Amino acid sequence: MMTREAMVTSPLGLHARAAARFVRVASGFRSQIRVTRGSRTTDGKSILGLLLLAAARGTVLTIGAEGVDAEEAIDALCALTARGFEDS
Amino acid sequence: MRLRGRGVAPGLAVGRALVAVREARQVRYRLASSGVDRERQRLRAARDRTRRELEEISARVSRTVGSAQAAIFAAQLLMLDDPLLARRADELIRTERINADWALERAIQELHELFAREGDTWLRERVGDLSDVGGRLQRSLRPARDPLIDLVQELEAPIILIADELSPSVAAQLDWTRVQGLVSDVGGPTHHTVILVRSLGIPAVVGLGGATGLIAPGQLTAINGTTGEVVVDPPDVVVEQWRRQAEIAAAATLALGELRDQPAVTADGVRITLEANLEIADEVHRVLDAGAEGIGLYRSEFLLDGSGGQAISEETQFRTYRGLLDAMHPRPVTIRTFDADEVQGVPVMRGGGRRDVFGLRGIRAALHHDDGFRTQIRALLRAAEHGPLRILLPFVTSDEELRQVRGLIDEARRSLGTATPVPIGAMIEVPAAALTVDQLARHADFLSVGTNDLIQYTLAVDRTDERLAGHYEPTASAVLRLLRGIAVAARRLRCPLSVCGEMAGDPVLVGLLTGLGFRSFSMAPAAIPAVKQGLRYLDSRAAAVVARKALRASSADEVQALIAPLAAAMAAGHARLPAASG
Repeated sequence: MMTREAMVTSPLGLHARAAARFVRVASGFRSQIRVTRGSRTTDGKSILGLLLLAAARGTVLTIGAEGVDAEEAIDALCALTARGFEDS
Repeated sequence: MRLRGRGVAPGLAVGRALVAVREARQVRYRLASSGVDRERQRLRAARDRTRRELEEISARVSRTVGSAQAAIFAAQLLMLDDPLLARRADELIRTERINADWALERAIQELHELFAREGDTWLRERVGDLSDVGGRLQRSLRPARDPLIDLVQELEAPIILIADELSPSVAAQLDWTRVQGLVSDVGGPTHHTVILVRSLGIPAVVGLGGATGLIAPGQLTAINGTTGEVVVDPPDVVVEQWRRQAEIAAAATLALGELRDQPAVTADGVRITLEANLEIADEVHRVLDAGAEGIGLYRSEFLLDGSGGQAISEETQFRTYRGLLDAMHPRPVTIRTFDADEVQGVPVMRGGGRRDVFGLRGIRAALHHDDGFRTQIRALLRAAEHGPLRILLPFVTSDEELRQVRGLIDEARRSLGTATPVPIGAMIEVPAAALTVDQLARHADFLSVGTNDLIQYTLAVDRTDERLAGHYEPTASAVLRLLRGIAVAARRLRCPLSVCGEMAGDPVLVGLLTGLGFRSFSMAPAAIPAVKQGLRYLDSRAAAVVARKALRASSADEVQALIAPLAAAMAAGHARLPAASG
């Protein structure tokens, strides 16, 4: 599995709307997506799992992907995280 | 009957009660191997039905309320497709061979347990959405329309809806021109149903515990979404006083720009100090916007929220405190040391939620287990080099405690090599402190009355105990006499005194407290304009006469009647504003 780190920059952290955006982008890829914070790992296509990471601003997440479009998926999700989960 | 919850959407409403209790209908059975596919198919069908319903609701809310509120349902649609919910239920049907209803119930239960483990209040409130989606999915397995929607059409309006829990999706389908107020047993200010009704301008009071059990269907019910009061079969004086409060607030809104930079002065020229209470340091701009003269209470334990009870470093604390001083400069900032449950490390929730009423909390916890307290003191003393900081100690019960804390502070001061004087104050929130103000004042540079706890300890009423909901009475003569005693003793000893409980946020009660001799109040920033507006029309001598009579009143209704003229006077500014008369 390919992984990369990204820091949460949005003031409210990975809140409901941010998690929703993340899931929507992640679901656009065929690869399996994993998001890890510390000892917790969740499916990147699960909004509930992402909320449970309780990632506040400044948290570093490890985003992993495995599958045919893994690299594009990681690029897109890291970019989304870096711009505070706002639409580009 | 009077109940008190948390006012989460402002405004007043009076109507007939419609009591709605959700029944838990669960059907559980094990499957023969041939039944598995049929159950998986039922779950798929329920999911499709739920998806269509949510899309419909989302479109409707987008039209009638706004796209931001519709986003709530977009998030719910994603939850519906979440691997941890429907897919997990599907897995349970296959592996455990249980029916779809049971599998879904278990998947939801698992998620509830995960969310319940989180210390973060915001995150715990997301359970509201999860329950909503889960419940809708469960009902879709056995489709039938929520009967509440039709009931609202059949009953006589205006209706006050009393619900154990009202889900956002049912709320979105109700006719809110007929339902004019919401009371619910559970919920908080960021619950999505609350956000929805607030944007519709419907007053709401939540967190009453057992309102659905205490209020009978059809009873006339008045709710005050600003103060959190709910009165069943309200006497005319109550409705009257609420109207006055609404008028004061309306006048304050109209005069907001003018009020902001004016000092608070009564009609007879008595200067009153109005400061703000603050929980989240980032919201300090609200304090400034409201025209507060300082921060009268910063609840530092909220720094602990979400940290899982871990200690906050001296450096982080220092930066937070200094940030507040810089933002408020040159106004004073009062920081209350952690009022946290020593074992859990979670903030003591005043007025609802988890708490340990007679526990090891406040200054007791600090003296018992002082590492965290020493760290906080160091951070506070360092911050005090940069502005007028005051340290406020919670849950003080004796002057001996104050002496000990002063010892710790002096020690920290020596080790830091600082000589900057920092005022040390004591919260007066238990009767033991209220009755020994003369002793405490010898060791405290200022005093601050926490009315919420003082009321509950004086009247032996735990506010979280729903059976006692009607017994929590801020104007009980026992409470007023204690308050009077505090004011008299503090004045005699020339010890600065303030009130920082919820009473201080109610303009009419501030009028009464002014009559009892209080001259300084600290309240939620949003309450400041209305209190200031009301005070401009208050004659402090008339207030003193009313207060003296109130000390001997035998019931809350009698006090209401006594303060009605004060309320009317304080609302006088309303009539004088041309824009408000139309």
